[in-house]
Amino acid sequence: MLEIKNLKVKVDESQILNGINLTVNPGEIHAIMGPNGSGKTTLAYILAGKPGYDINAGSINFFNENIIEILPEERARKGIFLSFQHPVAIPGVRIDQFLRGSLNEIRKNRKLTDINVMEFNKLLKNSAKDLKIEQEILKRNVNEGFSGGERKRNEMLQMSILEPKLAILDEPDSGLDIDAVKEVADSINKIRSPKRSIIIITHYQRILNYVTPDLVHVMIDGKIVQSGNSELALKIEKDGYESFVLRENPIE
Amino acid sequence: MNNYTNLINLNNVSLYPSWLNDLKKKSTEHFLNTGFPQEKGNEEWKYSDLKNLSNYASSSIISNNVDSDKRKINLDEFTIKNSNKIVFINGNYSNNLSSILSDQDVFARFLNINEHKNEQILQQYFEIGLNDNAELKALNTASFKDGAILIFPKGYKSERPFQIIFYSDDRSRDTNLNNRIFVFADEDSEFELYEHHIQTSETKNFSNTITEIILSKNALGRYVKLHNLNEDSFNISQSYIMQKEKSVFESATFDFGGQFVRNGLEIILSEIESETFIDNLVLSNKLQNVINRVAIIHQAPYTSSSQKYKGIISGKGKSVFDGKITVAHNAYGVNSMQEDKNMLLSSSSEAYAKPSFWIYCDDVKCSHGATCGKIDEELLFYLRSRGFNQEAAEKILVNAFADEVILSIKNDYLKTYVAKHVASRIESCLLEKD
Repeated sequence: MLEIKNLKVKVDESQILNGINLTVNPGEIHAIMGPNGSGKTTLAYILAGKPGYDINAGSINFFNENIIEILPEERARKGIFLSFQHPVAIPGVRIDQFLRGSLNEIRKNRKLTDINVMEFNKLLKNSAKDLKIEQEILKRNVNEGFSGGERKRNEMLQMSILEPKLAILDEPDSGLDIDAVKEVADSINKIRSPKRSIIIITHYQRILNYVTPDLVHVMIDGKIVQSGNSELALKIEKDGYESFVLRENPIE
Repeated sequence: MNNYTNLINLNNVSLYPSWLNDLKKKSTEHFLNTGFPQEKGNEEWKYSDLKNLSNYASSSIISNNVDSDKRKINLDEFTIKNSNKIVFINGNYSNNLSSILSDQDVFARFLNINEHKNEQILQQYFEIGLNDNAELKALNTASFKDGAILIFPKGYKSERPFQIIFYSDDRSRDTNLNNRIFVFADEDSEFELYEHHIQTSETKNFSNTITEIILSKNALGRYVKLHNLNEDSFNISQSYIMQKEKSVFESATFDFGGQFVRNGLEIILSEIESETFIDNLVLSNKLQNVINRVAIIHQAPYTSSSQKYKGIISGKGKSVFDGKITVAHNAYGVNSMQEDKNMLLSSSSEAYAKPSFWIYCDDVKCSHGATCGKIDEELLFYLRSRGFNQEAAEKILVNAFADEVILSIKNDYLKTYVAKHVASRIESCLLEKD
């Protein structure tokens, strides 16, 4: 489904990603862990197509198509979804209207007609109920006045409605208390399917107590320095990232 | 000034009561003495280049048979459902196009004031005169022919708003139209008033409108001003508001065009606990210059004011916000908020904010903020990552920016009408985006 080869990315002359290689197969959940500033969010943005980055080497294949030159909206329509680490508030734009517009853009790509309002409202209502989101919130402006937890839950709601093929979740657990982490994990488990792949970017192992990844990667200084099964996350929790940094740059 | 020297002659026509004729003469002399305000060295008129205005002939079109005109004018598109409609065509009242559905006693024309039972109220306030030193107010007082007088009696409440339409077409080309509105809201009354300036595409005139509103104790006034103008026009409209105890004034202004548009708003909160709320949306593109000058004078304790100005500027458009708040010596407990937010869509568009506070009292709460920027890139990316293309995302964000102002309108028909016009103006602003 997703194949990243030797991806190198610069921002304002500083090299952020230093040759990322990553293959994600349908149905897999990958966790990418790493300290602050290791390039995790950059990788998420690059996959979603955020402008302003200089990709100086490598390729990103999504279903065997190199998507580097493809606009973010087209990637979204092809089934790539990014759950933002800090979802922005959009004053004046209501969640229900925004999400219906978004779904219709994506449906167009799937050769489906626009969803009618009644049908959409039903879908939205049910998805919100599953995620324990209050109905009144759906009439409010996107993320306006939302707490950190509400914003993350709103991202999960969008993910469940848009049904992406590849979901990239950038720190879906940050700033949440333990109950909220469980709820987010719950919604990830709900959308888990053999046809859908998920990349979870996180600092901490704790969300991985509730979502078991197929593979865990450690990212340091824009490179994946080690990959392994879910045991690796526990090792990070125990030893910290320091041990990986040392291995990469041995003291002579 | 050559075009204006005939003002005195015009005013010799004894259509009005003698007190009004006297006032007109005084204003004529005043205006001929001062002339148009000069931009140079005059803070109040900074960014307002009026040097071409004297090329317009003083309003000389006066015709009482506007209704026998063969030309058909259709105002359906502009008509707000369920409203009392008062229509002036090129400065002349049209009986056929107006429809006062109810409240016959509320409305009177200046030309008929001679016989009107409310002449006294009019005289009283005209003779006090709110800011009569203003040059363009003097021009208006000197030369207006007709206009609307609305007197809302004590306790008056109505479901029907008043819509005053000033419509002008090619017949007013190169002239100066002076329109006048006077509103008196007696104690405990409530009213809604929409002042609507409409021009056909061939019109090139200079319109100078003065609106005076007196809100008595506990009165509530909702006032919306709309400009549907073409790209060649000069439109200056100034409103003077006087608020008494516990009165509430809500105002919204929408500018949809005009080469030069200047909205002046002067509000005197003269008695305790009076409140004023102002919302304003500027949509400026091409070569348009839109100026909003607001002066709020807190004369009494516990008065409050809120100003929210927003601008969407594209092409080579310009928007100027000049807001002055004065808090008088004994006006303790005043609460005043001022905000000016601008979205610049092109590199040649300009926005200027010139806030000022003159506070002569210690115990007050005043705040102000001004921002100016492009469409937020982070918001754009968020929308694009959800499948909206760049163009659609921009449209969503610019419309959302304008929405807050539209939502300040309470009347649903008017809200729908304004939303439609705002959306289409945003489309044309986005065409000039770079």
